[in-house]
Amino acid sequence: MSSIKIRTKRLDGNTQIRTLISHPMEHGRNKDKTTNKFIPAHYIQVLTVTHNEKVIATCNMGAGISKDPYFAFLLKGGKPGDEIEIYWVDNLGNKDSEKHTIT
Amino acid sequence: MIAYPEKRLRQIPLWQQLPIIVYFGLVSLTSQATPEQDQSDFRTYYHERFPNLKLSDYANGVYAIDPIAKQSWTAIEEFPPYEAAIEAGQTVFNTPFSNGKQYADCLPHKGNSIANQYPVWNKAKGEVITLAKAINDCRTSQKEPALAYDKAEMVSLLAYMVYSTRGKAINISIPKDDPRALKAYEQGKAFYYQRHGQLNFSCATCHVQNAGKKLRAEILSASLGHTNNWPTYRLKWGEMGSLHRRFAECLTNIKAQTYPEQSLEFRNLEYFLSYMGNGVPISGPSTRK
Amino acid sequence: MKINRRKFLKTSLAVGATGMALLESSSANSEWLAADFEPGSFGATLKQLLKGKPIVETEKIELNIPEIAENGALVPVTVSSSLDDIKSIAIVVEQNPVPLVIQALLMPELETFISARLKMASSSFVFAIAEGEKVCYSVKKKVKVTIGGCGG
Repeated sequence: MSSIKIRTKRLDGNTQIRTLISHPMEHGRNKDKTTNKFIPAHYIQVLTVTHNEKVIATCNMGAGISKDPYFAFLLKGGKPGDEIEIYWVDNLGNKDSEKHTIT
Repeated sequence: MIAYPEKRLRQIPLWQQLPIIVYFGLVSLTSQATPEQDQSDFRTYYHERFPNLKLSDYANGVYAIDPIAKQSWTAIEEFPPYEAAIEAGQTVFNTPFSNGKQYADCLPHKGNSIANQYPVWNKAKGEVITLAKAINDCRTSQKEPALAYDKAEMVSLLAYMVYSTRGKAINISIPKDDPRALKAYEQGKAFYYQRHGQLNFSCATCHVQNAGKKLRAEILSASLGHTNNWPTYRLKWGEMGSLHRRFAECLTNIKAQTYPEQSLEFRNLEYFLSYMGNGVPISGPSTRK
Repeated sequence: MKINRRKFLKTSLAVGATGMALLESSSANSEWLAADFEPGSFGATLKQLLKGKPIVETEKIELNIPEIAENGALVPVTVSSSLDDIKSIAIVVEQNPVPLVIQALLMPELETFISARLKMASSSFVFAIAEGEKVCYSVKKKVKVTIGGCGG
C-alpha cells in the first residue's frame, strides 16, 4: 500500500491538490522511553509535485513538519485527465511516489 | 466541588449550579435511580449548562464548546490522519481467517455498521461485551488467536467498523430480564462518580461539574457523548488509540490506579458512559489533541 | 510513537523514472541542504533564507494559523497571496530548535498558496516568507501553544 494519498478538487477555476502521507517525521531528538536511547532521525526531506510530468513544486523540509504530513497546493486551471504525481525522499534514502488523475 | 477562576466559560452562575449538582448527585448515588432516570438527569444537566447545544452536537466533544480549538480540528478533519487506519482496518476486515471464514460470519449484521450498539450485555457469558471484545470472540470462535487490544491491527479494525457506523445514534440497552446487566451498569456508574487517586478526582469532577471550564490551559469536555468518537488519532500519541487507552491515561494523570484495556472495570465504565450517550451520533474515528 | 521501523525500511518502494530524474536534475537553488535544517538561531535562518534580498512586511500575504494551538505536534497553516511573482514560500517558527520548517519552491503553474501541518515546540511567532524577484515579503503571527509538540 502506498504511503501517499492524493485528492484533487475544482475550486474557482483552479484545482486544489491535497496530499496526506504516512511518515514518522522523527527529528532524532526524542528518546525511547523504554530503552532510553535516542530514536533515530527519520523524516522526509524533499517532496515534489508534478503536473503532466512537469515539476510544479519542490518542497525542502525538515522534521518540523508534523508526523503523517499533509500538504495542499493550488494548480492554476487543471482539467480532467491531467496527471498529478507526488514523490518524496527521506533522510534514510527511502522513497515513494503516487499518481492521481484529475477527474 | 473544585472551582476554577475561568468565569467567562460558565454558562450559569454558581448559585444556580449548586442545587442542580446536589440534586443530580443525590439522585445518581442512590440505588433507587433507574438508568432511564440517570440518563434523563444527565441530559438535563448538560442542557442547562450548554443551552445552545443540541444532543447531536455532543458528538464533537470539546469542539462543540471551544470555538478556537475547533478551528484547528476542522482544518485537520479536511484530510484527517486516521484515514490510513480506516484503510488498514478495511483490509483486516476483508481478510479471511485460516479456516476460510470471515469477520462477517461471526458478527451481527455481517459486522456492517454495528458500532453504535456496543457495548452489549451478553447473558450467556454474564458480562459486558464491547466491540473490541466481540471482535476477539469472533476470532476465537474461528480458532484464530485474539488480537492485542492496544496494537494497530485491532485499533484499525475498530476504526473501519466505527467509520461504517458514522452518523448512527448510540443505542445501548440494559436488558431487564437479567439483573446482572443492571449491576454491571451500576458498577460502571459507581466507578464514574467515585473519587480516585492522589488527586482525589472523580470523572464527574472534571467532566460534569467542570465541563466547559479550564483545567490549566485546556477546556474540559462534557461526558455526554464521550464514547462516540473512538478510536481516535490523538495528536499527543501521534497514532490511533482506543477509548480504554484514554481511560488509562486519564487515571494516570490523576495519579490513580489504572486497569488494562478491556478489563472488567473499563468495560463496565464504557457501558455506563455509552448508555448516558444514547442518541448522540457516532462520530468516530476522529482526531483529538 | 509505535512505527515498526524495520518493517518500514524493508518496504521502501521502487521509485518511478520521474522520481529519479527529479533527484538528478535538481538545481543548486532547489537542493536540500543540511545546513538549512540543523538546529540554529532564527536570525541565522532568516539571513540564509533572504540571501541578501531586503525583507518587507506586507499584508498582501495571508497567514492562516490558529491563535491557540491545542497541541504543538500538529498546527495547521495556510499561506496564500495574490502576489504573482513569488518563487518560494518558507515557513519559519521562531522558537523551534530548527526554525525553518519548510521551503516550497513553486513554479508559475501554481498559485501562491501552500497548506501544511507544523510542529511547534512552544508558543512562538510563525513567519511566512515569500521570495519575490527583488525582495522577500514577510508576514508573522503569534501562536500560543498549550502543549509543546516536539514529542517524547
